[in-house]
Amino acid sequence: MGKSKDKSAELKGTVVKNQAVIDELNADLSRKTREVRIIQEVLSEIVSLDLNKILQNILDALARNFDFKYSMILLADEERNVLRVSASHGYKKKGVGLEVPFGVGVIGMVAKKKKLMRMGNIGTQKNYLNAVRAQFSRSGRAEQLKDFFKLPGLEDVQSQVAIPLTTQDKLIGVISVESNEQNFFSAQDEFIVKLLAEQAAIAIEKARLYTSEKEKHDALGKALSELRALNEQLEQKVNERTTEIRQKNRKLEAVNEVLKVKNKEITDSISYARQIQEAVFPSLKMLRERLPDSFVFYRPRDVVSGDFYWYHIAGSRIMIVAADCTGHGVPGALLSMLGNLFLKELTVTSEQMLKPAEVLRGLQQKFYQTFDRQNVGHLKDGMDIGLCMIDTDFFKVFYAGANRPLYRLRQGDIEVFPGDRIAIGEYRDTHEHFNQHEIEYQSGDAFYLFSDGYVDQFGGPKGKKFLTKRFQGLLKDNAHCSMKEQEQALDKQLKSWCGNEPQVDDILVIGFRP
Amino acid sequence: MKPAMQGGIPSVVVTCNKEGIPNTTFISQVYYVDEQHVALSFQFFNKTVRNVRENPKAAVQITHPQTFQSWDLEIVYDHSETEGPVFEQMEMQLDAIASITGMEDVFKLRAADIYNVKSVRKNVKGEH
Repeated sequence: MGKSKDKSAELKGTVVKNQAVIDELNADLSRKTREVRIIQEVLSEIVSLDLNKILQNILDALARNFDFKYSMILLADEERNVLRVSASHGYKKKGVGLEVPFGVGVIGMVAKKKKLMRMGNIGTQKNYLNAVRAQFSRSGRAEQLKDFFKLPGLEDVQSQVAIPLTTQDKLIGVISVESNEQNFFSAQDEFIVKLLAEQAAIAIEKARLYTSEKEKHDALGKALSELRALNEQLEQKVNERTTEIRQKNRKLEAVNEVLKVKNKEITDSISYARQIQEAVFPSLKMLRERLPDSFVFYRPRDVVSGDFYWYHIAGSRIMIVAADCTGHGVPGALLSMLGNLFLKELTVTSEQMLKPAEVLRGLQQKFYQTFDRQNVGHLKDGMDIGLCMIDTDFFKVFYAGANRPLYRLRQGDIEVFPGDRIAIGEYRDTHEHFNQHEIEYQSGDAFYLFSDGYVDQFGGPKGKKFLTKRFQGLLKDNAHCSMKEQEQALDKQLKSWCGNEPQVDDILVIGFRP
Repeated sequence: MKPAMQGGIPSVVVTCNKEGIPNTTFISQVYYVDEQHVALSFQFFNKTVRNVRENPKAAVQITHPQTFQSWDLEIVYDHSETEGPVFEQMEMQLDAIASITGMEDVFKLRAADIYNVKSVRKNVKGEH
């Protein structure tokens, strides 16, 4: 019996032992299950990018699975060397935003050293240190003491596990779990908190990366919209400018239209003026009949001209005039009308044809009388003129000129009979008489009267003036030709000399063989 | 046994000087180093610190804070560390508490005294 009693007791012991082992294994299994579950829970939350939510979920999952009633996650602000509570679980006051300086308390020390810490006797330790503190105060060493530090967390904390959250050895925060029971946390608990710390660190980094990317993206978006606004402003300005330019263009076009109309009006009126001028000048028909071997080479620069020719025939006397009113175009034409009128008065109406010098003197007086010098003091205009009278009865040519010479071409040589150096219209007290040349002519002699237009024309290979020397050469070269042929030679030479140069002045050359 | 080394209940340390005069004191914590070693903190130059440097043999009693089960350990002072993981872990814990009680300037860990554990005896109720 005794033996069986022993055996039974032994068996009972074995069963109890086995049961203890089974219990322990069960506990382990349950723990592992919870560890797996919490990791699953936390991982499923990490896909979210709301950092506060992730951290809160980690702490909530910790409380749900492991009965860790009090926990918090603090994020590091390395510029200020503090940690700030970012999420908490279980405390009466959430404490979010409260700060812990690096190096103060368990959490601060973990942050400073970047090493985990597990304590189970904080209350006792505090009491011990407070006792030492009291001793210090009593022994007069209070100046060595600092103030108590009030930190977020349980006031009566006994146990605490605090683990640094790091990525690549850089501190980003601390996760802390607390209990008011002594030795609450085991090495296994430390392990699970460590595991979660790693997950939290990843989530924080991810969220921060997302935030910074988002900030970059937002900044880019902002810059883009600013650029867009600028672009719109620019377009607006361009549009405004375009409209402005278009309006100005329209105005210009309108002005242009007006100008065109005015121009046409002026051209029309000048064209009509030419008709008047032509009607006033004598027809060359009579002259050609009387002097068949002659030409009048007349090339006005503009529609109307300052140069003009004139002639009058009375019996055996023929008066031929080449005149050049200073200026060209309309002002020249106006003067030419006056000249024409005065010549008629002086020559045609008088009973006996006056000699050239007398005509010049008469012209001089008429111009002087016509222009009131006090009113037209600034007028420099006048008239250069060559006047020659052929007396076919006596084979004589009488010549007088104002700033113009007469050429006689005889047997290839030119003799120049100069005019007086004064213009008609230019009044000088000292100049009352014009010189008059009395020239006998022979058969074949040719005479030339001309304005300065031909010799002053620019052109040739160097764009220079034609000049008198070349003009005389041209006449000599064609001395053997008929006057008609000479006129053609003058025309040809002028065209080739001008080339692309525009005509500078009115041109008039009169040639005749009496 | 490890909970007894978390400082819940102060531990008793007995040392002797070289003349054999014993000294008993309470310390807040006996730190677990490994299966062969424990560490005691050296904060102030007290009698315990002085004694073990003359006479390394010491005895310590630790108590489980919930069950009040106690153990007697025979230990021999081996050496003193002022760096390394053991020192740092002890220093961290001390600094953490000192900083909140305003004692960080006066309460410094000078060294971690490392002891060899020669024997462990679990006390039976009523024996101690």
